[in-house]
Parts: sequence; structure tokens; C-alpha cells
Amino acid sequence: MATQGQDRERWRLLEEIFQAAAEMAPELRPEYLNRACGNDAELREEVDSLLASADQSLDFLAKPIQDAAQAVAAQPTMAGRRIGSYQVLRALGEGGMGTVYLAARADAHYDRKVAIKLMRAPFGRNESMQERFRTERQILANLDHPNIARLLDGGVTSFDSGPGFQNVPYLVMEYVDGVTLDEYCRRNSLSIDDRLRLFRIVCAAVEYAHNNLVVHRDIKPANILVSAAGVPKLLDFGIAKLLDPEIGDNPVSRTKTTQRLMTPEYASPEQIRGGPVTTASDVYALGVLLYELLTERRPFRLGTKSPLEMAVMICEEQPELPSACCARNPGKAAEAKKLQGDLDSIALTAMHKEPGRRYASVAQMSADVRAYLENYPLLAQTHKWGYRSRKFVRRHKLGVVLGAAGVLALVGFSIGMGLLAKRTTRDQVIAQRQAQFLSDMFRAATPEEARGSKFTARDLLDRGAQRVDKEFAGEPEIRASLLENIAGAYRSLGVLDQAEAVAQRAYNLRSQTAGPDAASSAGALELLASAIRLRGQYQRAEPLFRRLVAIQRKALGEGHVEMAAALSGLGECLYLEAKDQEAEPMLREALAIDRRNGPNFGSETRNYLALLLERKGEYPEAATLLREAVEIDRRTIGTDTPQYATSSHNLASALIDLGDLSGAESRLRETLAIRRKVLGNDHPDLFYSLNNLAFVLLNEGDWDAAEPFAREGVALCQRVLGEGHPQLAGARNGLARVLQAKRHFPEAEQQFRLALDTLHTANQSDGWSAAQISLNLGMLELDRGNYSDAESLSRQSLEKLRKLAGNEAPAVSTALIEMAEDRMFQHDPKGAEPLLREALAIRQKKYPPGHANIISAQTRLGEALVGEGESAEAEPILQQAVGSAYQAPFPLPVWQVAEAQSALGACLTAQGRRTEAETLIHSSQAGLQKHPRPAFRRPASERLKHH
Amino acid sequence: MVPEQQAVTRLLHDLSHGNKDAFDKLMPVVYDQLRRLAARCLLSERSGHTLPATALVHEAYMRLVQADVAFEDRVHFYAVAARVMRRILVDHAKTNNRQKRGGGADRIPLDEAIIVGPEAPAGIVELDEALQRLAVHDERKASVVELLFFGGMTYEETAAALKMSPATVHRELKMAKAWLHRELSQSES
Repeated sequence: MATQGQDRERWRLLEEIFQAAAEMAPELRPEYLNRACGNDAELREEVDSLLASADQSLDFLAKPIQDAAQAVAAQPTMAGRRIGSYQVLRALGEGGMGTVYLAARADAHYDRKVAIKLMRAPFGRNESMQERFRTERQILANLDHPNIARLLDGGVTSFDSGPGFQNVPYLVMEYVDGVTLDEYCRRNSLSIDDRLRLFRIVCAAVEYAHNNLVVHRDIKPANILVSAAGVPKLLDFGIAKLLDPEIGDNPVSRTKTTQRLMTPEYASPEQIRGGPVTTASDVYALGVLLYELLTERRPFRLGTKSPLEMAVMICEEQPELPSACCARNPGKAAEAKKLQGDLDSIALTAMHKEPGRRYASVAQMSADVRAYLENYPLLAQTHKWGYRSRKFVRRHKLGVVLGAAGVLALVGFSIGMGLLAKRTTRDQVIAQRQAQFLSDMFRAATPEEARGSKFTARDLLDRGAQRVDKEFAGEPEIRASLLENIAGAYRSLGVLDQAEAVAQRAYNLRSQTAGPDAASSAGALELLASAIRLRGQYQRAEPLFRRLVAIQRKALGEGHVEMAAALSGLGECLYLEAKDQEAEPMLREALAIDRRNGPNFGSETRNYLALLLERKGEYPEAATLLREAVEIDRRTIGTDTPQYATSSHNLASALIDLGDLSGAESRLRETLAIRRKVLGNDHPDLFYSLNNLAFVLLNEGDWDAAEPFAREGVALCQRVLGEGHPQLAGARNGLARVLQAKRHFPEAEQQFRLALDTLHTANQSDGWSAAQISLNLGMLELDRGNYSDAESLSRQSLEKLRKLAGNEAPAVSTALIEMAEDRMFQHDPKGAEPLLREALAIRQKKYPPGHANIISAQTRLGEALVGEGESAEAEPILQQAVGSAYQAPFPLPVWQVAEAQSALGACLTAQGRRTEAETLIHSSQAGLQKHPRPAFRRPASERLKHH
Repeated sequence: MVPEQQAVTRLLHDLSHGNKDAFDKLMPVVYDQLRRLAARCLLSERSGHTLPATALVHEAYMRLVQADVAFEDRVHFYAVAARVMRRILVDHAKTNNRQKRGGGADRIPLDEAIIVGPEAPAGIVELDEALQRLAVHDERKASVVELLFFGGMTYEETAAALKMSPATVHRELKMAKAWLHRELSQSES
């Protein structure tokens, strides 16, 4: 090998020959080169190759520089700009998540420098992500420890921060002027003992954070700065999680995040695998840190390895003992000897591949370091870790199998975690192992699959459901617990038959081990009952809920939230069976318990109670409850969640009842979008959004816009729930109403009839839905002129509705009006009048003044009175209808205003006041030209003509 | 005069008198200035198709340095700016390549990286690496290229910065250009 001197000499020679040849005319070169290079073929070749490049223009140098400058320019700069109340001074550095700037208070109240971490990408308009950012930021801001750099502030940049910097989340942190921990140790040539003392201070800070439920996730020397005074401070606590743009309510990205935001050298095997990041992961990183402080080497040198090699190394290979690592360095023999034994053991115990075999806490690790410093025996060598280890291997094996299948149940994971949280009062160990199993199971092997549809998630659940029995054959309790989670995930995905089947297995297991009425069977029973309820088989579900309530009442007492949940479940079931009178006190009792337990419980109870109240026409109270529910959900789980969508959807229904159609429409469009996003297009819950949106659009008079939603609703129910599901009846009813409005009478009738058949099959011919659908079918017959059919249908419905909902239910008023219309078409305004008076009285009681439904009842009563020749009596009623229509708190459909105007016009005409009437009739016709009425609202003049 | 200008001028003076720390202190100031200018240049749509990096260095100079600064100090400024500009451009290109793979400097997304595979380095990164190799053989030649192309300096200024004659600058560049071109075309094939 050539020495440096030889290299330099050769370079000099090369240059001399090159420069001389380059100056010559080309034809003279060969001879010169033959002479100058002699037998040195390598030299000759090199000179030739340089000469071949000698005549290049300089563009090849200028161009890449110019291109790169373009690219930099595309990235706006931050210096000098304002972030919040801070003025950016300069960039401190760039990391994976964004850039860190040095900044100072812009108002210069005090001369304090801060570090601002600005995320790379803006949030977009994801409200729930911003919400989460705020919440987590608050948790981090509460960390108050002398060795943790304080999180001072944070937020999202405003427009002021300049183009390209809007809506970008940032964090303001205490600025630590110091050097990194490893650098500090090196510069000051600290002894092993001094390093250990410094390390223990770091441990204390991490432990403090763990006690506050914050995991650092990215401990490494670069995140620990030591000030000139020798005080170490940890930076970026929990920020890996906080600043990640992907983190949201979506557990897929949560898993992905743990993979993305880490430093491979300090990442634990579970982080590499994408498992849950826990305090054990921080223990691991502290082990690596200790290793590095002791040896000045990293345990794994990953430098140029491929990611796959890195992963294998971190997950499979044992690191060299710290002492052995030192021993290879001739200058470190003394250190090697010192490390042998205790310190080797501390570092490697912390760095164990299996989280369960590491130190159980940072405190234990720190205690062992202290024991070493003070010559006590160590925990690391005496502690029995066997139990955890055995368990880990088994679950790990399963994890690998399922990991290869590699998919993730979007909703399932969060539900699993929800159940887990509830169960912490029971058995921590089971809960932990179960979480591990589930996260292994739900881990995304590849991002492509993680983003995939629920079908892959279903595959995974199917696999998990099959494997649980085999893997945990001897452990019925864990098996049951896992089955419960899988059932919960199925339920969340809307795969209800599987949810029921797996819940049944879990409940059977629980019953075998503890008895069907044991407290430990409650979870499985709840899943089973709710799965059956969701399948629409309310009568089957009811006794199960009753049993559940009895179990919980005995096991937990009256005041427990779980007890409230069971009660609420039963109430919901009864409500769905239309046993409202029995359901209401249960839901109210559940709500009372929830309220006593705090402001964040009982969203679901409020939802069902509100639905029940709406049925009774208690709209204002229903709306209040739903506004509370929406707020609870927003606070506790965020807006991109199925539960929020449900509450918001129900609030939209209440708004419909209150007459605020456009408010309802925008809410419904929002919830439909959320549901499509978080549930996919094949989830049964999507139906509610589709159906109600179609309903609102229909009532706003835009039936063309309504039709696609109604059709999608029917197709969805057929596809996902099957022909026998009562919800399909609701979907067909919605479509039929749209078709009726469009005058597609035969198809409309067919849909109504199919809907009634479905209810009959589901044994719900006497239910609420059947009564409603019969009523609508009656209206269709009315439109077609089949008066006697119409009358018998509406009479039957009216009786049913009176029985189900009481005499004052709004639905009763609808039935009354329909019967009255029937009378009107048969030239019997006298027969119609009392029906309309009753209907109007109900509506005036149930709806706020000026509500569209009051106006329509008034209009019809006025028409009847005019028909009887009582136009003087009709006039004030119709004047009020028109006046309210003009002043309605929410805009009414054009045709409805026109209808009231036309009726008043007819009334005035009957009194001989033609001039006044003409204006009204003219304006009515103009309105109807602008917007035609639905078919089922035939003009008043037509009704009067029959008279 | 802007306080920043005072500071920079003082730092340049220190640098001329052999204070190495001044270089480190100068770097971030010049860095920020260059990036700010680059961004503004783009925003004002002045750039069109080309954004001359060297023009930015000149503009940064106008903003950061007092008008009556000594020629020697001015040369030092450009030398610093050239180094900074090279670092900005290369760092940015590298960061961008990493970002395309979904992660940051030391945060490699294992699964994504396995799937996507490494990106071909941008031209600037190759040029930077070739310059580093050239510097191993002949540091002066690498400096000439850096000052001329990244710093936008004239032959005279480059000559002054490197304490050589302008003719030597020409000569060094000739060989450097040929060597770099050969290196870059070899690595392509």
C-alpha cells in the first residue's frame, strides 16, 4: 500500500503531466505522454481520462449547485419571524421531526431565551389532532423537575408566522445552554463513578416522568444536555409522540409512530417491532446510555447497516459485555476490570430483549447503580425474572405468527385499549399480557397494509379468534379475556355475527370457570348482549342485559359507572323494543349515576335518553342532552371517532326536530365524512348518516340531492346487515319517501311494502317503525287517490302510535293530519277539523313557536275551516301561519311558505278581499316556480277544488 | 448601522486575525441570512427558472457586512459564506432524501426503508462527496472550487482568500474541473 508521501508525489506528477499536456496542441500530446509516462500504464490511463474531461464547460459544477439552491429556496426560513409571542433568532439544529430554533420573547418583558421546536408539516384542519396536541402538551407542561427541560408553551402558528408556516404546531421549551452528556463526560474526563452519579440524576428525572405517566421514548446522549455547572437536563420528554403529525385517534398511525420516531441505536426491540412503547422501553434506552457512558462505545454499531440488518441486530443479537468492549481497547484495561460483574450486569439487565426481563422500573435500575457505588448486593443478579420471561416467550411466539399476517384493526385496537383501561382494577398482569397479545396481533407489518381496508383487519381478527384457543389452552382466564377483546374489535368493525359468536365463547369460558352470574363474567356478557342488540334482536338481548344489571348491581354497588353502563344498556335495549315507559327511568337512573361520577361519563346514556325524549317530543331537553354528549366526546376521545360521530349525528336529528334543517344538514355532512373516514364505506353506522341526510334534503325540498344518499343507505343495509335486519326497513322507508316526492309511486310503494315485510320477518310488526312506515304508506295511497286504503292505514298507525308513544307524541299529530287530509280529499272538512285541532295542539306544545310543523298544521286547519265556510275563523290562524313562515327562526322550504300564502289567499278570496288575496297568490306561485313542492304536498287549491 | 452588521464585521475582523471561534459564530448568522434570502427570492418570483446561489451570497454580504470593511475581511466573509452555502445545500439535499424515505437524520423508519429502498443521491451530494475526495489529494483545488462556485467569488477574491495569484487559481481550477468531471462521470456509470 502506498504511503501518504508516495500518494502526494504521484499526484504532483499527475498534475504536472496533465497541465503540460493540456497546454499543448492535441496532435502533440501522444508523443509527449509516451515520453512522460513511460511504462507506467496506470499513470497514462489516469492522465488520459483527465484530459478527456478537460474541455468540459463549467456547467456540470454550476448546475447541481443551482438546483440545490432552488430546492433550499423552496423551503421558507423562519429566522426573524414570530412564533406566538416569541421572536426567532436562529436555527439551533434540525431533527427528524422538525427544526429547533433559538428564540426570545418578542415583547422583551424579560430577557429569556427559549428553544422552539417547529414541526415539519402543518396540521391541516384536523381538529381532533389539534385537540390531542393541546391535551398532551398540557400533560408535558406539568412535568416540573430540575433535570427536565420545561415545556413552557406551545401552539399552532398563525398567519403572522409567514407563508409556508401557518398552522404548524410548535413547542416552546426551556433553552439549555450546555453540551451533550457524552461530550461532557469526555471533555471533563469523568471517572466511572462520576459518570454513574450523573447517570443516576438522569434516572431520577426519567422516573419522575414515569410517575407522571410520561414515557420519554427517545432517550439518548443528544437529548441530555449538561450545563457548565454540571447539571444534566433531559430534553424532549414525550415529544416524539406529541409532535408526530400522524398521531391521531387512528391506532394504525400510533403504531407506526413508534417505529418512525426513534433512534435505532437506542431503540428497544419492541420499538423496532412496532410494539407498545412503555416505561420498559425507556429502561432499555437507559441501559444503552449507561453502556455508552461506561465504554464510550455503543452496544450496537449500526453505522452502515441496512434497516433489516439493524432490526435483526437489535432484536436478536446479544451485545458484547461492557467490560469485554473496554478490554479490546488497550488503554482501558483498568476500566474493563471495574466494569466486570456488577456494571456489566446492570447494563445488560436494562437492555434485555424482553421488556419483562428488564428492570421493572427506572427506580430499580438506579437503585442497583447506587448499590454498586456503595457496595451493596445488586437486584439485577438476585431478582427472579423467570415468571415474566416464560410468559413473554409464549406471547412473543404468537406475536410473530400474527405479525407476519401483519394487519391492524383500526377500531379494534382502540377498543381493546379501552377495555384494558376499564379492567385495570381487576388483574394487572392479565391486562398487560392481553395488551401485548393484542398489539402484537394488530401490529402493522407494512404501512400499505396498515392503511388497508377492514377486510384485512377482519382476516387478522379471524386468525386471532382461531389461535387463542390453541395458544392459551391451559389458561381459560386469559383466553376469555382475549376473546373479549376480539369480540369488541369485531363489534367496532360492525362484524356483528362474529362479535356475537366470539363473545359467546368468552362468556361460556367465564361461566365455566366462575359461573354465569359471577362478576368476572360481566364483561363477556356485556359484549354478548350488545352484539345481539346491535344485530337488531332486541328480545334476545333484553334478558341478557337484565342479568348483566343484576350482576353489576351486586358486584359493584349502585353508584358505579359500570353499573350505570349496564343499566344504560338495558334501557337502550328497551328503548329499541319501544318499551319507552320502562326504558326512560332506567336511562335516567344511569345518567344520574354518571353525573355523580363526573362530567365525562354517560355520553351513550345521554344519546339514548335523548332519542327516547325525541320520540315523546321533548326536543329541547333532548337537544341539551345531546349537546352535552357531543362535548363529552370531543373532550374525552376527539372528533375523529365513531362515538363522536354518533353523538353529533343524534344532535343533528334533534336540530331537525327543532326545525334547524340547514344546521342539521351541515352536521350530518360532517358526521358522514367522519364515518366514511374512520369506519369505511361498509359500516352499518354509515346508514344513519345517509338516511338522515336524505331526510333533511328531502325536507329542504332537494329530493334530487336526497336520492343518491337514500339509495346508498338501502344498498349498504342489504350488503352489510342482510335482508332480515330492521334497519333495512328504515332505509327502504327513506328511499320510498324520496321516490314518493319524485312521483315514482309504484317504486315507492314497493319499497314501503318491502320495509314492512322486513319488520314482519324480524317480528317487529307492532313496533314503532312499522307504525311510521304504515303512516307513510297511507300518505302515498292518499297521493294516489286511494282514500279508503289511506284512511285504514293511517287509522291503524294512529292507534299504534298512541299506544306506543302516548297521546301527545308528535308522530301522533302526523297521523292525525294524515287522517284529516284523507277527510279533506273526501270533501269532509268538518270531519277533518277536530283531527287538525288536536294535531295543532300537540305540535304547539311540542315544538318551539314558528316551527315548520306548527305552520303546516295551521295551514291545514285554516284550509279546513275555509272549506267549511268559516273563513273568518280561519283568517287569524292562517295569518299567524304566514307571519311565522316569514319570521321562522330557520328558513323554511320555499314550497311550505307558498302553501301558507296560498291558503291565506284562498281564505281572503272567500271573504271577497280579492286585491289582498292576489298579492299572496301571486307570491305563492312565484315561490313555487322557483321551487316545486314534493308530490305528497298537493296544492291547497286542489284540495279545495274537491270541496 | 444594524447591530447584526456590527457583530458580523467584528467577527470578520477577529477571523482575519486568526480567531478560529469567530468562524463558528459567523456560520449560523450567515446561515440564517442565506436561507432567508433564498426564501424571499423565491417568494418574489424573481427567481424564474434559476436561482443563482452566488447571487444570494452577494446579497447576504450586502446585508450583513458594513460597506467600508477591509478587503481582507470581505474575502473572509465570502470564504465563510461559501462554506456555509455548501453545507446548506448539501444538508438540505440529504435531509430531503431522508424525508422521502419518511424519516429524519437518525430516525430511520425500518419498515418503510425496507420497502422503498435508498434514493439515488442528488447531484449536489455527489459533487460534495467528489469534492471531499479531491480535498484528500489536494485541498487547495477543493477550496478553489468551493469559493468560486459556492461562494460566487471572483478569481481575484479567490486568489486573495487562498493567498495565491489569479493565474494559479486558473490553473488549479483547470485540473480540479477535469478531475471532478471524471469522478462524477465514473460514478454515474
